[in-house]
Amino acid sequence: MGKIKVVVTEEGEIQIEAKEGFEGKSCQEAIDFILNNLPVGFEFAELETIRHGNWSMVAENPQQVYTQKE
Amino acid sequence: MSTTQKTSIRGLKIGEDQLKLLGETVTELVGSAGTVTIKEEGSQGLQIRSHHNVRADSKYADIKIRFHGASADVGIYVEKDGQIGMAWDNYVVRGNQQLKDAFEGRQDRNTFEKNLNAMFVAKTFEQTAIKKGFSSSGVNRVSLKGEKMGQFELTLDTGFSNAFSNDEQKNTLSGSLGGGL
Repeated sequence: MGKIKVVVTEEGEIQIEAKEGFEGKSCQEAIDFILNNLPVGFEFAELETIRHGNWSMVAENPQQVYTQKE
Repeated sequence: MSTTQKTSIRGLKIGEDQLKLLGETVTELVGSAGTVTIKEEGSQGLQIRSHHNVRADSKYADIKIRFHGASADVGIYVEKDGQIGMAWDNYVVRGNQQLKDAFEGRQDRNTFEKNLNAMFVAKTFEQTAIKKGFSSSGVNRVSLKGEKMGQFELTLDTGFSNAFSNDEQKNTLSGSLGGGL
């Protein structure tokens, strides 16, 4: 069981953060799973920045590992 | 005399079968600030009232908003390619206290468009996740009063499994995303 927090700002920035319950890349897989299943034809060209807290190719810090809470 | 005509909300296109969700989003966003009417499926649309001439291609809207205290309508239009357009003149929100309360003192068109855009994106994420078995906390608007703006937040719960089988890919959106993925 994992939790993903999605924030969409008025300025068109989307932040997606894996909050808890994930290990390794599984949070990325969960986010991709949603993105790949968005409705056909749906577009938000102005909302193009996506960040999430666990997995970033540009992150300088070591990737965090989310583990299942007891 | 001025002319009222629809103009696009930049970048926002709705997907197939999303008119209902758009209507729900508009209704929720307008809240107590006005009345929202959604056209019947297959109908010509809803004739909007304006203080100005209304351009021929903007006379009939898919969704109509009449803000309290106004004598003109806001029209929301869904084009064939899913592009969303809006038409309104300055009279429709003048002095609407409910809008000011909802949007940190703002009642202008630009603020409403930005909020509609953001809320619809959040609700689309939610709808997609629920269809795939996730549960949602619901979409909530959080006011950032220090910055005089707001944002839409939701928390999605994946359920008991973290194994995400990739169903057939239906949207290639992720290929165009910028940022830090």
